[in-house]
Amino acid sequence: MTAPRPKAGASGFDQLFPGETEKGLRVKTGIVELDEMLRGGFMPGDAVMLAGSAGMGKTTLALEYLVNGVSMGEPGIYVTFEELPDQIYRDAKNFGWDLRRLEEEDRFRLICTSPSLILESGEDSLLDDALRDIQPRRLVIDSLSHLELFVKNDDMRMEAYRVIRYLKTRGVSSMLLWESTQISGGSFSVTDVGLSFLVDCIIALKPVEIESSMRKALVVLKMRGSNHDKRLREYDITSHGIEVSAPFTNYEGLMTGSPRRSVTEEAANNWAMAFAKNKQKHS
Amino acid sequence: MPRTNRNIPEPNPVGRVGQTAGTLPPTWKPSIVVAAPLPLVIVSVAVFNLILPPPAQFNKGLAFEPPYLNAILYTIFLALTSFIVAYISFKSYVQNGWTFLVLLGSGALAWGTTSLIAGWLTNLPTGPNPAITISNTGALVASIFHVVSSTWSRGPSTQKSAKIRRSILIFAYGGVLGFIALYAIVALEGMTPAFFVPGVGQTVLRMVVLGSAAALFAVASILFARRYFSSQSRSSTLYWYFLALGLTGVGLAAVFFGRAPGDPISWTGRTAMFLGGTYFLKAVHTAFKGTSVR
Repeated sequence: MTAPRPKAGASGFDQLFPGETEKGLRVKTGIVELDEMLRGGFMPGDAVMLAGSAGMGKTTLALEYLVNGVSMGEPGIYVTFEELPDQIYRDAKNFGWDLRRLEEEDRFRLICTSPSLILESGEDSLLDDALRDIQPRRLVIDSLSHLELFVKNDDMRMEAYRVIRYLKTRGVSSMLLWESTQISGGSFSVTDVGLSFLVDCIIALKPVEIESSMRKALVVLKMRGSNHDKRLREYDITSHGIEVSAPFTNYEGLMTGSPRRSVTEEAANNWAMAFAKNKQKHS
Repeated sequence: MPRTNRNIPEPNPVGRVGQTAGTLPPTWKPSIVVAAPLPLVIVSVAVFNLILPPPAQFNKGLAFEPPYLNAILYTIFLALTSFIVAYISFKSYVQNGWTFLVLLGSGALAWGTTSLIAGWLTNLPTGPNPAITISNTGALVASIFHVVSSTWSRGPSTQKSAKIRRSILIFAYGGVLGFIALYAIVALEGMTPAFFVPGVGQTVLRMVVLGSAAALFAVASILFARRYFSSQSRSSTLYWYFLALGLTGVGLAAVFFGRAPGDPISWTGRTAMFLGGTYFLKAVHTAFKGTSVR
């Protein structure tokens, strides 16, 4: 059995889920605050890029997205090019996610392979087999950056486009992880090879230094066809997975990685300190 | 020259560890010149008091009161500057939770709002009494808030969330504005006792209210000055603020001794208050600059 196909005569990928967007149906991540930021979740069938540097929790967020999807009746596939299955099973178990059990129930599939096999995606490919077996609604590729090892820089966009198109035509909402060295400044360049325009949604994970400690910020940079929260929100990797908290309201320059308090907030702090009898810093 | 790794000065081996000439903030020194208007106003009022005839024999030709000039000056120098102080106190309280900031902001808001209303009501056909009533009462309310703020010794309320602090401030500022609006209506309806009788001069009630306001502003100024001089890290913000309060107090006292609205003593007082407004603004400016301690 295959995933939902476009109706005869339908043109464009947005026809894959007729009426779903209009009815307000979204692909929920299951992380309440993130779904709020996305105004309910991702658009069905969208290709989402999850960009961030190492240690930012891309894999954790992606796994949580799949596990939550399974609990909502949406099977998922996790394709990894870097970690071995046992390692992923173990790490997921630490968050309370039993991936082996989900696999036994045919609601989840973990594929540990080489990027070259993904590039060969076709009717008899490894990926196509898995798509037929569990009819996923969600799929994660960890990470798209690994394709760079097998594809020339000039061909990267074409290959990425082919993979995204392949998944879209099978009605799968994909999440593509991208190892980005820097997402900062005015350019907001997420990838060096110009993949940003190929995807429908970009979520950036960014480390920020505040008061000599590294904290994590999350922002929805792009979301085609939907409004979304534009603010940077702090998040943390807890024992239950990703926890998104309040926006960073009092800081400027978060995208540079070295934010500072906004001028007004700084002035307000100076104002209090000027009058306070006890000069103990408090904010 | 741009600071690079090459030209950042090496720490001085003698003296305080970790502080170099290149990293220390510029030293701020209090300027005595900016404090000079205080005694100058006092002397000017004393001289005018000796020179000018008493109210009964006062020649109106000596008064200068063009319509709307006062309103414009009150709006710019008293109302706007006070609103800026109220705003930064608002932000500061939400962020830091020091209760004295609520009082400081409420005082500034009362002073600014009553100055704004009074400035534009001066030229009413029924006479200046409602404007003077509102202005003087507002000055008294503001001075009380400032004195309480300057004596408030309790620390910040850390348990209250920013949301609760915001609600407290909205309630406090709303209360001040509500009271002033109500009082203004009552004064315009002629339901308050007279503060000023044209051709006769100020009433005893006005003398008490205005005198108290002037004295309390002076007290608040002295208390903040004490805090400034007893502090290790003398803040330029506090310096400008206590001078502003002092000038406001002296200005109100000058108005107290005035023969008629627009006479030389009144203008001396008004000038002091306008200068006080400028100093309030300067205090806020130093907070924005962030190099306010020495």
